[in-house]
Amino acid sequence: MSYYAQLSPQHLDVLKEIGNIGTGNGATALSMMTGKKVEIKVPSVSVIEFSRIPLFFKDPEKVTVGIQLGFHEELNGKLLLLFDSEPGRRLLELLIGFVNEDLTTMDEMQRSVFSEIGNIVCGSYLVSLTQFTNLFVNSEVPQITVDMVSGIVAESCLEYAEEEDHTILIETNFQIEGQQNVEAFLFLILKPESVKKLLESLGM
Amino acid sequence: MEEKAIIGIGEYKSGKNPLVLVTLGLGSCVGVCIRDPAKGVGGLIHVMLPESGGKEVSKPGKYADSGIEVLLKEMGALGANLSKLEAKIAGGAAMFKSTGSSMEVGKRNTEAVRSDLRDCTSGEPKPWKMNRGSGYQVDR
Repeated sequence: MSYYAQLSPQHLDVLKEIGNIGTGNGATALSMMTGKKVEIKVPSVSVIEFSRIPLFFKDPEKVTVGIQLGFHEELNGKLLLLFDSEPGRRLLELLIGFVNEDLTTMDEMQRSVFSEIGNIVCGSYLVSLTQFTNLFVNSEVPQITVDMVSGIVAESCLEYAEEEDHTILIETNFQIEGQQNVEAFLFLILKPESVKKLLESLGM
Repeated sequence: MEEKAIIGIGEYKSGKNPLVLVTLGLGSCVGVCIRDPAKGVGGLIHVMLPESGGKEVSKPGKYADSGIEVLLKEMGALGANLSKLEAKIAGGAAMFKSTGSSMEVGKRNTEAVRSDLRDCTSGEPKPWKMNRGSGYQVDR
């Protein structure tokens, strides 16, 4: 039986709380950087089959900016920060005052803005994750892609597909307030054995 | 109205005309469309990983080798002439570019699919939107 199928509602609540704390930290860092209020929304946890990933999204082929930050050592997994193209454009405008009509043709400067945002938000998330669990992780450099949302999420989960038919998506979202809000989604994707380790570290 | 079937990641399906097979959001995954135009039999598989390593798998559609094998078996059962097949493949992208150490799943998927198809069909599959930097949708 799949390990994920054995998780109780309490386990899932703990994972949700981890998402909440992590995103809270990330949002604080982002707020300091942008000088704007950043609001986080209620987190959710979904255990889904890989095959269902495209159906998880309302519009699975929506062009989305994805920033992935992998981490390893005592926990293995990745954080995936997603901006739909419209909020993505607004974020660029907010930070460098220049908007690209088509985010698939961003230049180095624009891509590095997203990388840096990913670094800050995901890095703060990871710090709180390690403090909370007392587990040590090392993060990689952020990687960025602009593509269809279900393709990006599938790609991030793919590494763990060998051992599991399911993936667990710890989803949070936040928005940077302004004249128009910039909404972002953040997924914590863990290697199956790391989910176990994480829960054990919290005495579950 | 034409009947449509959506194939999820790591799934496959075969069918007869006029069924339309669709798969969404191909990134480094590879969508493989195979058909026997004369018999009106076709199949689509959304491959996630290149090789099953010969072990028993619960979901053969996840891997190029096991998936193409079961798909062709099904198509054969529907009356397709396995020596007269055509194939098209799409996907196999390298999504996150900045990785030197990336697993290059897209490329490996593409290569695996090509060699598995070569073993099973009469000729090279026709490439179609291959190995570009981004994902695609495959429709029929």
